[in-house]
Amino acid sequence: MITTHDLGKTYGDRTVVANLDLRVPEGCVYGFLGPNGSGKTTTMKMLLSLVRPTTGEIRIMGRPMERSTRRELLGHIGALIETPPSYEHLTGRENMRLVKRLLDLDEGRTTRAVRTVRLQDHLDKRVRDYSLGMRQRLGIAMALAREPRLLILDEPTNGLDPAGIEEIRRLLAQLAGDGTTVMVSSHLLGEIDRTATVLGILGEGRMLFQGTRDQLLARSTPDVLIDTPEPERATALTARWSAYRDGPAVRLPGLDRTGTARVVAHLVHERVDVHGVRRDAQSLEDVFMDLTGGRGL
Amino acid sequence: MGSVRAEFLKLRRSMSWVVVVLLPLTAVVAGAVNTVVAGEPLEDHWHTLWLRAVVFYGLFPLVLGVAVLASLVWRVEHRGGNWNALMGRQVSSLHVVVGKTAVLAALAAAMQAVLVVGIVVVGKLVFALPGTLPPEYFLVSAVIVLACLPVAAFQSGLSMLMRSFAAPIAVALLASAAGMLLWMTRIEALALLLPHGLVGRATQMGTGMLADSGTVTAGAVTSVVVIALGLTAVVTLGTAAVLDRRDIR
Amino acid sequence: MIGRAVANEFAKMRRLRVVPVAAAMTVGVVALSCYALAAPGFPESVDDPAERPWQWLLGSMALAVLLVSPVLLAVLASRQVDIEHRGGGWLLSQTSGLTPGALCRAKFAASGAVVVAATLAQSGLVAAIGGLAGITVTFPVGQWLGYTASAVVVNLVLFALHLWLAARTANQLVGLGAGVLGVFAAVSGTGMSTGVAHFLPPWGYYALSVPVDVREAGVVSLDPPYLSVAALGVAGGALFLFATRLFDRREV
Repeated sequence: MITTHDLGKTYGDRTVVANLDLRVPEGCVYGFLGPNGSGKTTTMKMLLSLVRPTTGEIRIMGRPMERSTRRELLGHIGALIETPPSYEHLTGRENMRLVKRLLDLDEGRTTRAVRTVRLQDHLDKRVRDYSLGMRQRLGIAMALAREPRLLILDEPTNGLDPAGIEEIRRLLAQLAGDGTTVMVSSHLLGEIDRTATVLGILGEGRMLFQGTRDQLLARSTPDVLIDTPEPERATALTARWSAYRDGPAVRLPGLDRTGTARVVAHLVHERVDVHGVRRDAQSLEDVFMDLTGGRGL
Repeated sequence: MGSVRAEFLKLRRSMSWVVVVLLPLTAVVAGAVNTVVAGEPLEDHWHTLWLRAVVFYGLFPLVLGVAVLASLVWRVEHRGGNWNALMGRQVSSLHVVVGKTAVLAALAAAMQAVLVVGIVVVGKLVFALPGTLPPEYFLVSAVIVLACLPVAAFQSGLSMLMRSFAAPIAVALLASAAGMLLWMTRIEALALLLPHGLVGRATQMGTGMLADSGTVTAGAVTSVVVIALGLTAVVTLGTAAVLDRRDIR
Repeated sequence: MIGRAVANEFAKMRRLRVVPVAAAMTVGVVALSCYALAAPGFPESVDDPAERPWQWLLGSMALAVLLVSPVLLAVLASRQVDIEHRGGGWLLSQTSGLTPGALCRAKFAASGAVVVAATLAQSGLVAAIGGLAGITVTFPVGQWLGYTASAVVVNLVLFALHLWLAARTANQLVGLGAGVLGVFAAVSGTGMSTGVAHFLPPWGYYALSVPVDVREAGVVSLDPPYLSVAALGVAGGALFLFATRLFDRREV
């Protein structure tokens, strides 16, 4: 759906995004992750041709995205960038009507979009009186009204409570189920961890990882934990593998299979009782910390 | 006093100085340029220069300047959750309203100072007038600042109630147009009681224009000062009462 | 696309109190114009062609326009554009295929229509009031229409300038400050020779358009430089088109 080649943006001598090769497959939920200020919003703006790339090119739905083609392509792309847009002095219904007229849509589409975000009961309130979550949902409804093939959402869960976040998550899954490709950014992994089928991780403007969840997990080796009645002695004996005490167990980070075998052999040779050897259950969070150097995520 | 200081802090980087400096200077420059371009000499020296700079300024722009400043001091509160922060303190509504008006009074005084300095500089450097600005105009300046108080209180109240930056300024324009009309048609009692008209009376003082006799009399000064203070008290108390009754959103 | 965008601009005006602000402009001008009616000697002059009662009225309307319009047009433009700054409307429009420049032009078309209506209403109302006040001298149709057309052009150019200013900077102080200072420019223009007033566009052109002058002998009709006003309109329009095109290239 989206491919970019060597995409980059430089403001003066400040590089915001560099060498980005995005691959967003059709029909997926693409989780675009990175700490605040890592270049996610700039990238999304470049995808929408709101910001001109300094280097590289963008292809969306197989066609180059440029100023000349963007009007037509934008008809198939729904987007919500930064804060949700709305005219506060108007009601939700009036705001939807503006979008409808601008894009020349029929009534049915806006009605469906509003139903999808479950805002139909609040349409006659002024947006000024909306809660943050309602504004967010109105913004998504505006993006959905054109029934886009591609939906680009920038931090849609920002400022929402857990219930609101769960709702957005469910919405994204539903949209993906209906065949819409969704690209959603976040600086919080937990928010899109379970919904995203493909992940892209950005750090300081560069792609640190791109692939499925499983591929990501496979990227880093979980710690090895050894259960023993003599953790003190075992830790001292395995100090050269940078072992350290972790409660009743000994923890050894970054150890591969042969390494593990060697450690166990060594302990047994030194007559330390080994009751169990296991890999620690690793969360995606830990992988992120590794990738981004512990920043933000 | 703490709340007034806090109000001044909020004005930082709001560019309020642009209004405070530019508006009176424009009045002086416009008066000077018109004198030069029209080729009409300053027959009465300082008096004529004062008249050309100040009378029109008092009918319209001064009031608008105060209105713009009032919108500016309230703008910070209409953004984000500042209203809640403002009213969440252990401070009475009257305190909040007086704090804002006090800031506006200080800014009005600064505007008047710029005006006086501007006139003296232009009088000396451009027209080489003998002596200096007659002393009665320093008294008149004080009266002008006092006469700005009711407008400041009124516009501050409007800007408090309206979220919009521009709308209270439109109201100020209409009110000063009404004030001007009242002065020109000599319905003076009403013009004095309209805050936007009262400023006009103060700026006419000593010029002999419209309602003025041409000399600064104790009677005229006293009446303007008394009305100014009375109006300010009424408008401020009224605004505080409205604020007390209003829900914070 | 642009037609639908203009229709949207009218829809956005709801609850923005655009009509009251435009009405305030009309009412302010009409009220200040009525000053002429209250001037000493006016009631006796309504039947005397030599006293030129219509020219009196037209002159006071021209002065009223020059005092009231600069600020109220600034207010109008500021409100129209502020909703886009506050609501993320620029981005919303852009992701819908409407560039910022096109949005500005749509705004100009929609609100400009309101400005034109208000200007025409002022002129018509003042004429009607003159009639009601009992002026029996023949109505100077050409002069009146000529002034009205000039006022429409100057108002539109000034309005376009304020739309551009407001779109350029989110700080409303800039636009409204310019409006207030513009009053000085407009008033100063009346005291200057027409040659000098040409150099204070667009405010000076209010002064240029004033079709009469009060001299010691009474009111005299002038020959306002309609060509200059027309030139202002053309130049203003071209600049507005150019400047809004530049917006399209700006990145958000």
